[in-house]
Amino acid sequence: MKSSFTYQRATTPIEAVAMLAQKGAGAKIWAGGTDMTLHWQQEKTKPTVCIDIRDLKELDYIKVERDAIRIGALTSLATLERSADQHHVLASLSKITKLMATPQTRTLATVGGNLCNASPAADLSPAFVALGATAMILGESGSREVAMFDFFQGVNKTALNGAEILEEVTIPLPSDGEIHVSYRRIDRTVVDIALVNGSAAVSVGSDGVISKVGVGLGAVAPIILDASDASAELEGTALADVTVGKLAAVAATAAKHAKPISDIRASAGYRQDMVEIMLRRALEDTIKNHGGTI
Amino acid sequence: MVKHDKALNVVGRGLHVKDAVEKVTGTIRYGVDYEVQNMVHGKIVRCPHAHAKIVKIDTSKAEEVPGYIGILTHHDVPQNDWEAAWFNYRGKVLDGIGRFVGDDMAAVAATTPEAAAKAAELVEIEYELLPAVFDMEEARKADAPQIRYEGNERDPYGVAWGDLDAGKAAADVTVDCDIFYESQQYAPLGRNACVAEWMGDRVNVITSSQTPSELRDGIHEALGIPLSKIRVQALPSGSSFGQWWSNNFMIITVLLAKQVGKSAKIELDNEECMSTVKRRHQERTRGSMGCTKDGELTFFDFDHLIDNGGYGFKDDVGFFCVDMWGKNGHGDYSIHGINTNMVTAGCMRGVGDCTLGASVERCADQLAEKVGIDPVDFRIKNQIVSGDELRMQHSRHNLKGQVDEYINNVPEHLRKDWPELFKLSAGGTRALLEKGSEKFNWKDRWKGWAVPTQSEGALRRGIGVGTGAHVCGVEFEGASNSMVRMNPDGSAKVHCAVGRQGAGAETTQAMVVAEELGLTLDQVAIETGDTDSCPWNHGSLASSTMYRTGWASREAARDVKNQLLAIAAREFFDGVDPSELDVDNGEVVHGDPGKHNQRIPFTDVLNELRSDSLGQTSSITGSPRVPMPPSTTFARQFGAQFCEVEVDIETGQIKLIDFLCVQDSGTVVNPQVLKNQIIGAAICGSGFAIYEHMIFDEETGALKNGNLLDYKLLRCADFPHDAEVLFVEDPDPVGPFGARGAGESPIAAGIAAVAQAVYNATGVWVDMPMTPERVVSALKAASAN
Repeated sequence: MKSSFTYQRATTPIEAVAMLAQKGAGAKIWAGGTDMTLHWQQEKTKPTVCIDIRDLKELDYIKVERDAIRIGALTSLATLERSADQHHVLASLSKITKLMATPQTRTLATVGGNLCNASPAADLSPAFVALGATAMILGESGSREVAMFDFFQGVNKTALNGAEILEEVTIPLPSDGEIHVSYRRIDRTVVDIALVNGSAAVSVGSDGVISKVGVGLGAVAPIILDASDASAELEGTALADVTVGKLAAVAATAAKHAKPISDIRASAGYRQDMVEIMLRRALEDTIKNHGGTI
Repeated sequence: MVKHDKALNVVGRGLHVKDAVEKVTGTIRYGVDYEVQNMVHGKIVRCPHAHAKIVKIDTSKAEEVPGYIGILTHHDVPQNDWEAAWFNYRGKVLDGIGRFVGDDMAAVAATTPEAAAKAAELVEIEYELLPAVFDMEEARKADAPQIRYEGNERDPYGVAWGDLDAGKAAADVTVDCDIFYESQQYAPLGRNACVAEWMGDRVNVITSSQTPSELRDGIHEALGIPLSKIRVQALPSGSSFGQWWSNNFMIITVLLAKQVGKSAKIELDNEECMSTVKRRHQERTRGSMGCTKDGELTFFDFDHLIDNGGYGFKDDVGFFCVDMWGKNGHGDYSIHGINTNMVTAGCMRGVGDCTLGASVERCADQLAEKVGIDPVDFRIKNQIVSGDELRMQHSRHNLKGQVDEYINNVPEHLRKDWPELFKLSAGGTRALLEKGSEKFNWKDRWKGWAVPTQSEGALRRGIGVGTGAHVCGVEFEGASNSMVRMNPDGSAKVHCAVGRQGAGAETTQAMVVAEELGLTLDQVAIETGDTDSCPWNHGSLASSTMYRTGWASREAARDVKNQLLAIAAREFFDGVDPSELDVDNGEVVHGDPGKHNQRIPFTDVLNELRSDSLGQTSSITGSPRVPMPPSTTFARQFGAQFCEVEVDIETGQIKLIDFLCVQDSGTVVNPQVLKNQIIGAAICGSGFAIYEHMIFDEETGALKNGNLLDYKLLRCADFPHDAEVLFVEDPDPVGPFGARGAGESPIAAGIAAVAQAVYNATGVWVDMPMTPERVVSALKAASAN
C-alpha cells in the first residue's frame, strides 16, 4: 500500500540536512521527483516525510574552473544537456543526457537525483566513475568528499548516511594535456534504460602519452565497476602507439570484473559479451577524440 | 470498376480530422476522463494464482476501510456465458474460478479510488489450487489440466484445396518451418475505464470501445436483460488495435453498480491494461512449402497453433496469406485454438497475418532464394490478381454453406450488380510491387539473397520486401448498419456505432456522407458511440469500418438524398422524375440546367417537407435499402512494404533506415488519415518484428513485463522520419466511392519486410522478436555451423 507522507520544504542545504536528522529514516529527499514518484507508486519506498529541496538554487550550477568542472546536485538533466558548449567534457555528458528518458523528464530530473538513485544501469554514473569524479556530501558536521566509485554501495544504495545530502559532483581536469570521455550503451528503443553500458575517460599529456585511463562499467554488477588493472595496461602508452587490438585487450581485461545477472531485459551471458564491446568502443571514441588514429 | 459520374468534392481530400482540436488541446474525453454524479469507485480483486477455485471470501478487514461500500462476487452474478466478438472472450463474468494470474475474482466499491484499492487488497480469499498449464502443446494432451468446461482445444479449423500429394510431387524444391511467435501486447497508452449508471431497470454504460453494439450484446447475454434496456455510450479509445471491444471489466462495472445501488466507475491502471485484459496469441507454425525450379508454388502445408489464454475461444486466426499467395493450386492449412492458464488472447491488428502470414512469407523467401529469384519477382509470380479465385473462402465449406444460404435469400434483382463471388473483385499485390520497387529503386539496391547492401565495421545494411492482405470486414455476425438524418437546416448527422481508435472513422464516415449528400464535411456531424441512436454495427474490427460501415453510411445517405430529391421534384421541379435531379453544394439541381436552371437550397426542400406533413416531420431519416453483398467472398486489401535495416552484428541491435509502404485500399477517402494509419501499422509491425513481446513467468504464467519500461514499443524516433506511403488505388465495385479496408494488411507487410531485410543484412533468419540478444545468438549459432 502506498505510504502517506508529510511534506516539508527546505530553504537552505543545511536546513535540509537538519530536517533529515530530525525526521529519521522515513524522511526522503525530493529533488526532481522522477524516480521518487515511481518508487513511491511501486511501493519500493515508503516515505513518512518528503523534504522538497527544489528551492535550493545554490545547488543548481555548472562551473568550469581551471582544474575542475563542478556540477551542483540540483542541476537538471536538461541544464546539463544544454551545457555542451562550455567544455568538451560537458559536451560528452550532454550527449549522455540526451539518451536519458524523455525531454519532459529531463526537465524535472536532476543530476544529483540520478546519482542518489544509484541504479546500476544509470547513464551518467559510469562516466563520472571513469572521469574519477568525487561526490561532495553535506552532513550535520560539514562537508566531506567521496570518490564516485565509492559513492555507489549497491542497488539504490549510496555512501550517504542518514542525514546527508549530495551537494556537488566534481570532475578533476588534468593539469597537463586533455581528458576525453565517452559512453556507450546497449538499449532497445530510443527511450530505454541501458541493458549494459560502458564508459572510458582517457587523459593524454602534452607529450602525447596517455597519462590516465578510467573506466566505468554499468548494469553488470550492483554497483558501477571500475578496473584499475585494465587502465594500467594503457597508461604510459603513446597515443600514436594505440591500436584497436590494444584497446580490445584493455576492454577484455576490464570485462573480467563484470558479474552480470540475467533478468527480463537481458541474459548474463549477453551482458558479459556486450560490456566488453561497449568499453572497447568507448575507448576507441576517446582515442579518436584525442586525434589518435586507430 | 466503379464509374464516378462526377468529380468528387470531399472524398479524396486530406481534410483535418474532426477531433483534431479536441485532441491537441486535451479536451477530448476518453473513458478514464468520464464521471457521473455521486458515483462510487470500484476495484477488481484479482487472482494471485494461475488456476484456482474460491473456497471462501472474507471481507471483514475490507469492510473496516473508511469509505467501503460493498463487494460483488460470483455469488451475485448471473451464471450466463457471454461472448465478445470473434470469440475473443467466452465465459461467465465471475464464476469463482481464476484461470490466470490477474483474473477477475470479485470487485469492491468504495467512495474513493484509493479506498477501493485498499479494500480490494484486504479482501481475503481462500483458494483451492488447481493444476495449471501454460504451454499450448502441453494443454492439448488428454491428461492436461482442463481450463474450461468445453475442454482446452477447439475443433481444428481447416482450409484445403487441390491435391496436396500432387502438389508435393510437383515441387522441385521444398522448405520446412517450425516458428514460434511470442505474444504482442496492445500496450494502450490511454488505459480504459467504465462507468455504469442504472436508472430503474435500464443501464447506461460509458466506456472506451471500438465495438459499441457488441458490448451491448455482451451485457445482454451476461445479465439476461433486454437489449432495449441497455445503452452503451462508447467514447474514443485512443490506440486500441482490438483491445477495447467488449471486455469483462466493463460488465463487472455494470453488475457492481447494480449490486451497490450506485453509479460506479472502474478504472484500470497500466499494469491491469497490459496483464489482465487481452493480448495477441502466442502462435506456432509448423509446415512446408514447395515450388518448381521456375519459382511457381506447388503446395502449402501448414499446421498452426494459437494460444487463447484463459477466456479466448477462437478456432482460427485470419490467415489471408492463403488468398494472397493465390496462384498456388494445392494447399492444406489446419489451425488449432488452445486454452492455457495465461491472460486471455484475442484479435490484435492483423491477427494471423502477422504470424502465420509471416511464416508463409519466410518460407516463400527461402524458396525464392533456393531457385534464385528476387523476392519482388517471386511475389509477382505467385500472388493474386483481381479475378483470381479466393481459395480460403471457397474451401471453407461450413462458411460457404452460411454464405450460400445468405446469398440465396437475397432476391435475384438485388444481386444483379454484385461482383462475382469467391473471386477477388479488385486490387492485388502486383501493382504495389511494381510501383513500389520502382519508387524504392529496388532493382539497383538489391544485391542478392543474404548479401548486405552496405558493410562497414560491425554494421551491415540489408533491404527487404514483404506483403500482406486482409479482409475488408466480415458479415458473419450481421451486416453493419448506419443511419443518416438530415436536419431542417440542411445539415446532416450520421449515426454509426464504430470505434474512434485513431483511425479517423469520425471523419471519414462523415466524408462519405458529405460526398453523397453534396455537403461540406463541416455540415455533417457524427455520432459513433451511442447505441440508443446508432443502429447495430459490427464496430471497428476486421478492417470493416471504411468498407462495410462506409457502405452502409453511403447507402443511408443515398436514401436521404432520394427522399430529398423526390420532394424537390414534386415541389420545385414540376414533378420531373427525381432521378433527373442531383445534389450540389447544399442545393438540389437538375441534371440539365437548360431545362431547369434553378438551385433549390436543402432548407427550402425541408421546409416544404415540414409544411407538407403538417409540421409532423421536420427531418429526413435514411437507412440502407438494399443488402450489402457478402464481401468476405470478394474484397481484400493489400499492402507491400520495402525497407532497409542496419544490423550491428556485434551487439545485435537493429536500426530501421528506410521504409516505403505501398497500399491498395481502393479509393483513398482521406489520404492524411490513411497515411497515418499505414505508417502506424508499419511502426507496430516493426515493433513486433524487433522488440515487442510479453514475457511470462514459467512457474505462474504471470506477465513479467506488464509496464511500458520493459514492454518495448517503438517510438516515432525509432522509425525513419522520412518513411513514405504510396497509394495504388484500384477502386472497389462495392465499397463507398471505391474504398476498401486498410488497417491490417500493412502491419503484416511490414513485419515480413523487416524480417527479410535482417536476413539479407546478416545471412540468418531470426525468430521474432529479433531482439539484440536473439540476433547475436542466431549469428553465433550460424557461425558455429
